[in-house]
Amino acid sequence: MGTPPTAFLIPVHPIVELGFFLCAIGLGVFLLSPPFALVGAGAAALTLLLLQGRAAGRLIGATVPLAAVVALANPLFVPLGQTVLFAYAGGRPYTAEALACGATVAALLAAVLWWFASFNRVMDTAKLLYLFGRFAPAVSLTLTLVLRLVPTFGRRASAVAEARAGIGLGRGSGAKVPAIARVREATVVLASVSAWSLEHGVATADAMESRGFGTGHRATVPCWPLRWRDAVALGLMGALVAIVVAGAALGVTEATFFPRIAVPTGAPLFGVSLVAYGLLLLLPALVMGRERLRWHFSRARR
Amino acid sequence: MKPYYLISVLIIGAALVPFFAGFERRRPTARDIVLLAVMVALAVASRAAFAAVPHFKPMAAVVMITGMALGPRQGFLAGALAALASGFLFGQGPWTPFQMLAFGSAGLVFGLVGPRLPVPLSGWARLGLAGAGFLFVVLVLGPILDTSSVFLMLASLTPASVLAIYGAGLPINVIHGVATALTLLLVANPLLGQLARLRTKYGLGE
Repeated sequence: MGTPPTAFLIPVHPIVELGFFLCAIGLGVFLLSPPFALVGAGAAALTLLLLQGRAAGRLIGATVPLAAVVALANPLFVPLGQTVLFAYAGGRPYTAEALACGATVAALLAAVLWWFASFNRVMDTAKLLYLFGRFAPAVSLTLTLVLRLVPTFGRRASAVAEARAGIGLGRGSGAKVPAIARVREATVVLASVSAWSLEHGVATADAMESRGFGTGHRATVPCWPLRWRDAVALGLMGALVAIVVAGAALGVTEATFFPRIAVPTGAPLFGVSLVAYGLLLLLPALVMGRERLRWHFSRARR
Repeated sequence: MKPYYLISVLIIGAALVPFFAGFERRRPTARDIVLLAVMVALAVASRAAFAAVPHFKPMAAVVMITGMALGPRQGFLAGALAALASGFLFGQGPWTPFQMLAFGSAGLVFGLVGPRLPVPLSGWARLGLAGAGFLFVVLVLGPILDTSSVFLMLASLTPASVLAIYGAGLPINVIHGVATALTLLLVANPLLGQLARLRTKYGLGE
């Protein structure tokens, strides 16, 4: 809705995009270890910046205070750890280990929020309904109708409110009007919109029925071909996820914080898993970066 | 640290699937689909009717009324789809699965008790409904939403830290509950009447 999504700057099948976000978010909330959390937050921020530019900077800035609260609050609840930074409230310790633990969760939270911001930019409803329309046709159709009806109902609500104001029944929205009167007025508007829309809905349904709803195969308006590069991208993502999951199964994505921070950097698969994870998360950023560079140099040459 | 968030989302997903699969398997007619879509869209758009009242969220009340009129299964679907659709319109986030579960359960629970009440509701029944709506939002729906914050924002789940998150959510949930109760008090009768009329006129929503 609104502006068309700039999906990784080159057209790919929506299944690739959905698969990427499922992996990024699913692994992001699963790998609770400082190095993995840092890689996740960095890749999420970079992807969002490449997708949205300046607007992403504002969003990233807005997340920082929340992340700071998450990180700084943890030592208040957990007095464990060797390195006491200071004591407060009669000797309760505020430890560096608990702070690191909180910072890891803060990085995970920020990464998840940023991945969702990219997701909302890239995955519009047309793509999601295209993907799920085959498995859940009734639910997809319901959602399609809902997304079309919500703005309509908003317009109907203002039409009803205006009409009521026109015949001197509306109470306006000035500061002098008491809240309960405004609530009462709004409920009258809501009940009018519902009466209007329910009757209208039956007419819509009968029109659908008479045009052969449910009698044959239903096609979607947009259609994406599954190209070779989509298959390659899916295979690559699958392989990288397999490496990370193998590492997780061996415990290299875990970390202990108490009594002291311990990350299994010496484990055989640690480096491989971390690089695979970073490569997986940077796939769209690499594609976008390559396209940006190409564009830059093709203009410079002219 | 354990991946509580991931586990909870997987459990919620497993809870949502039967409702959606059941809806698909029933092979709903065009009228069923449009009726559900109209109620879901009304729940999502109801906020626009209350634009003059800040912080007033009537969505839960409309979902509860939908459950009362159409039964628990449709009620759950209406709540879950309303949460999903508002995610599409205002941005999906890590809280979306929890919203689907919270609003779905509102439709489910009120769908279990609703069909036994005669329409139009008497004065006492409306008051009781409003009270039930308030309690449900403060005790069930709001805490489900806050649980996503518990799993996402807490590095260590201790009794004190968990209580701090639910405590911070309480004022917001009380405001949400008051809005739900007021909406139920004032809109339940007209909306239930309209839905009952559709049932007698077109045989819809049975």
